[in-house]
Amino acid sequence: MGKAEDERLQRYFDGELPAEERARVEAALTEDDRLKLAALGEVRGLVANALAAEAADVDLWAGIERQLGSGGGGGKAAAKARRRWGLRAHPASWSAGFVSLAAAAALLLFVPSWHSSHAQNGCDIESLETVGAVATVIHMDDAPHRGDEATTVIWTTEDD
Amino acid sequence: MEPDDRKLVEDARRGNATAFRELVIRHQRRAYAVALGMVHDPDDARDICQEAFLKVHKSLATFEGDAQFFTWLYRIVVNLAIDHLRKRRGQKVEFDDTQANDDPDEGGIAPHRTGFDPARALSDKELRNKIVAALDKLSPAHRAVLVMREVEGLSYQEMAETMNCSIGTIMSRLFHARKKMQQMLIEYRKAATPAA
Repeated sequence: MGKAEDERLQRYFDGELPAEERARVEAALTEDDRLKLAALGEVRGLVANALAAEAADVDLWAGIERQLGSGGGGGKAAAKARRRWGLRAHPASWSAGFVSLAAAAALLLFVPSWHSSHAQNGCDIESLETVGAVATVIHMDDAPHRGDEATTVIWTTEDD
Repeated sequence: MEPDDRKLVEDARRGNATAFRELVIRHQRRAYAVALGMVHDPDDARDICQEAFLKVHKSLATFEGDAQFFTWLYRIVVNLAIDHLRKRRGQKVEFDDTQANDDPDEGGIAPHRTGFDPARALSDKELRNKIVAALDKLSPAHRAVLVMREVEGLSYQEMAETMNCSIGTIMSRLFHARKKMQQMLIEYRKAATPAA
């Protein structure tokens, strides 16, 4: 079977043939064609199910609402901030980051009061400002609908 | 456009935030699936979808009521994904037929199955990773049409409008994308199955 025939079979598979042509193709389907249709159906099922499953828990509204609330202009900045929270650290900055983390932990032990603490979108965020640096501790509910799994991220920013 | 979408767009255009929220909730999973299928990275897919919805919100006033809302949304998602791929790979990502159909193997769809059960893709993370990795090996043009068709069920006409090309081009890209996807999944299956 040539490419043209395969493409017609694909149009049949996708329901893109006019009724008359569809009936003609259907009447002339060979065993080989049926196997190809089954193969096309399998690829469709695998791709669709894999991506649907990956997307099942996605919830974009909170982020969109936040950006709409701030005028919608902070998209890239917000994305950058979120990625930093996700600890995508560059190897070269790891040692400096570790020192900062240790400093933040030390501050946590010795400074009893925090500037603020509030809950939003499943996250508790606490921040502490000190000379030359800001430490932020973020407690995130990873899956609040499933249980009590949580992640704590300590994020420090040093003044230049 | 479904009447419900049309009504929601009209309400959102008048400043009804609840209506816009409903549009987001209604389309976010499928938009995310399309974005993820194209860019592979979950964080990037999320960023792309958020940006797409923000663009939609900003442009509601100019949206033509006789157009399909989801076609409009997916066009934005696909274009943002394409831009993202260009930046990420630091190279020009072409979407013409020369690149899209650059396939030395002129054979057609193989008349046999990969052996993977599609139902397993819902529960088997390892299999999902294989499928997403295979998608990532397709050219962006192939990936875009495959994802739009298999995830969204967009018609050839809708995909042609989304990608601003002819129906013939869409058919050709889809054909090659499916063929390559099938070949890769067969190879994965062989690698996963020890020889007797």
